[in-house]
Amino acid sequence: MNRPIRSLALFLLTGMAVLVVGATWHQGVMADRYRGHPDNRRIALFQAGKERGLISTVSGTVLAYSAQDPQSPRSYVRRYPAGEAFAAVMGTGASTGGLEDVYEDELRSRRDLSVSDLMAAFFGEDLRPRGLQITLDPDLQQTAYDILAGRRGALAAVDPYTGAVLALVSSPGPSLAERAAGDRYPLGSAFKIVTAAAALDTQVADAQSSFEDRASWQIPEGSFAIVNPGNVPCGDAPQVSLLTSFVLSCNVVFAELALEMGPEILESYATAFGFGVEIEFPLPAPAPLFGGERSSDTALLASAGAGRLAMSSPLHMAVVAAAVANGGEMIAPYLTAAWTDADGEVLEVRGTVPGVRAISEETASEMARMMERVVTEGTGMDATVAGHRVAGKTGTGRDTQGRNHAWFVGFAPVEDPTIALAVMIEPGGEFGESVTGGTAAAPVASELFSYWFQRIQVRG
Amino acid sequence: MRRITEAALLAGSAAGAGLGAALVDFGKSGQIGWTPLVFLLVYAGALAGLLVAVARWAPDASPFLLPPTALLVALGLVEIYRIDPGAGSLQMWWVVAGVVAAIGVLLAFRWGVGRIVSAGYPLAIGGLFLIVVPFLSRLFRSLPDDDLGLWLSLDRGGERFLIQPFGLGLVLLAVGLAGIHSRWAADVAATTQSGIWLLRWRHLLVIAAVWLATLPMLWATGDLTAWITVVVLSACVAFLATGEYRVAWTALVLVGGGALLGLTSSRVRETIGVWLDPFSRAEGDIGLRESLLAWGSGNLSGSGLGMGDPDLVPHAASDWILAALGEELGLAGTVAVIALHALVIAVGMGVALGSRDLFSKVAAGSLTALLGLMFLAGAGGLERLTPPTRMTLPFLAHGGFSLLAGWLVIGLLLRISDEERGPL
Repeated sequence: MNRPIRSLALFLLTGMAVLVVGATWHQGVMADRYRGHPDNRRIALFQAGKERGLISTVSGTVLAYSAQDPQSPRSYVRRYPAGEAFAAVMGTGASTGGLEDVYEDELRSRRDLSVSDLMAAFFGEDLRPRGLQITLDPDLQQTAYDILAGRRGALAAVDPYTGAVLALVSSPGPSLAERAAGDRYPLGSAFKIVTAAAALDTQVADAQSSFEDRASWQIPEGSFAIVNPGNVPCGDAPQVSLLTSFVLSCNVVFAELALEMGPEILESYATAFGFGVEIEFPLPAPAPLFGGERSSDTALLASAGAGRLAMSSPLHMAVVAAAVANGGEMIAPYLTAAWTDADGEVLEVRGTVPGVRAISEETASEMARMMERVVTEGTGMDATVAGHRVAGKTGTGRDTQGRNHAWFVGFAPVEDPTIALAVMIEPGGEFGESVTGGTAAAPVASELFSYWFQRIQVRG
Repeated sequence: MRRITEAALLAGSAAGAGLGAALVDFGKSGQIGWTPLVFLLVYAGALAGLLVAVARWAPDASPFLLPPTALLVALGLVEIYRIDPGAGSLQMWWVVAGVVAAIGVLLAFRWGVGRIVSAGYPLAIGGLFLIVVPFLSRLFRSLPDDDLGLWLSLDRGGERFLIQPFGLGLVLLAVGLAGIHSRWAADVAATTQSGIWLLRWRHLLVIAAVWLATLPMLWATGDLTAWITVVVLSACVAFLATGEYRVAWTALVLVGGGALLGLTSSRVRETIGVWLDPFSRAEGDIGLRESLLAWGSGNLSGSGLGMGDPDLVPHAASDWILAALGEELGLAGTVAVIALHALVIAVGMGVALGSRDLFSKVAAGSLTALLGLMFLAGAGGLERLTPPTRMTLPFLAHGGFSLLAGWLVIGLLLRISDEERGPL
């Protein structure tokens, strides 16, 4: 009577073999399909609670770290001890465009406890999350954020020789996205730095070249007139120098200069100063706009020369100021200074990247002298810091809705520049709707410069 | 000597329960509490008691039966503890109850299992009653969330207990049917008259009776796989007793016909719908979908104990314990679980082969088939080889009665094994 027992045993054990095949199918062959299935919440749950790398400044201030979650010790919570002054740069979640988002992959712990991870760990690979060191000067960033408090605007400060970004502030924070690199605003007269530098560099004019001083100028073959601020002449005399026009920000002379140089020269210098060129930067940074490209339209060219068409970010304009400060070289701004391992040992450092010459050294020093005069006796007098030499250029750019954007683009100290910055203030807040570069942006720059000079003296 | 090896293997299982619970603690919180030690000591104590009982009352029983069983129970205990620490502690006491039940079997039948034969009808009817009682209870009392399937809901002082008497019912049914069929088979062997064909047909009538009695259960619970398990098991008992293949054909026809009849039930249609397409269901039964996602995510080596997310699976500790195990221990763990079951089945069938009287053969074979069929059905439901079932796995799941049933089967197999190997 054993035959039925054998048959049944064979049936059941065959069933077990089929189960092994089925298990191999589901857990082996189909495993990736299941793991990545949209209904599978495991990966999201896993990443949410995972340890991520330390983000700090080069000077050692911790900006973001992962702490063990007291509720669930297997997972981590992200902490931002440096406060909201850094919130826009850090970006405190996915797809916010901040560093956390951009370096999502690089900051991730690679300890997934998968077989390949174990193999990698076996061969001595460090799977712990890497740390990021950024160039921001934590005190400068905080000070700048405090100065901008209650205003709507953005500012950027860079080291004029290396391009290291020292401050990148958006206000009000931290609810809005990063804007000091991430958005473009109409430049207005701040663009005259480019027009003037082009004229000096090509020797179309020098600082003392004189022009007819007119309140407004009907552009030849153009459909409209270029008008000075307040529709008044620059000075009292019939003739006005380029220097005075720059210092008092008179539009007519720069419109004339643009036409005199022609579209090719102005555009080539705009390009040399980075207009229309993509900025390589970890955070989103749209390319600055020149606005007068290949323009045979004289009205358009004249407007571009006076800065009516250009748009850019504070970060890019800080680099333009740096080019004047460092003797004429456009340097690439950078935020990512170094990557470290989990113990803080530096793994890779950003090497020095040579700048690209935009204007000659002579032109740069002449521009520096002119920009210093803007602060000592021109539209930028509110940027003055007693006992120190500051250079800059104001701008009041008008957007398509007619709203002013106030700019101050400058550097200091003039004799040995250590900081180049650009401040942009939007309408609203304490200035109401009629902000101008001289009244709204220059005072902010002044406050920041004086803080910076204190710092240098304390250090020096 | 073999008993010492067996004892060492059982000690290993107890240590596995403690170590596994410690890993769960560590994986979940990084700290190890007292529970692992309690598991280790209680389980070791229970198994030691069982070993003493075996040495006393079944000294010649096969030493290969307990080690794989004990390891499976330890695995289930650890995973249940991982999913729900409270359920894990409760399961610990169910394990103790199961081991005590096995000792009770050894004690009660120490003079032999032969006297079960005469109790065939009451046992079989009692087993059928336990199988259909969840459905019967719902005839008299309608529950608001009637998605209980095979589970019986008991209200005791406002607290709701869920128990699944299905596995225990299957054991009683299998033993009872083994008694009935083996006695009839002996009758047939002793008969030389021409009316022998009628005596043979009785075996098929019993299968049909089980089929008829459980058909309403299929209709009410929609658990096609569990229902098929009952019918196939009763056919297996008849097949073991008679050795006639027409039993198999009868079972096939009955299962097919029953399934067709079952299609009139919306619950059966729902079950089949989930089976055919578990993923595109926003509503309804997400158990199979979540189980497959959990199980598949385990991949080859699993997430590690305490480090997966089996909590995302509804009823993970009871209905879908294999998916939870597979998520955390991977394909390696799944294959180990299947292999351990195959080992138990091989040893159980070996006991049946070596037994000297027909009832012992049929009973041992049926009880082994019960373990095998329940595991095939449960795992097959997860692998989408059969419609999904909420039947709990005998050794692994947090099901109370199914664990008890598993240990009863082991006790009976030990008993029969002792008779098989002992002196005449």
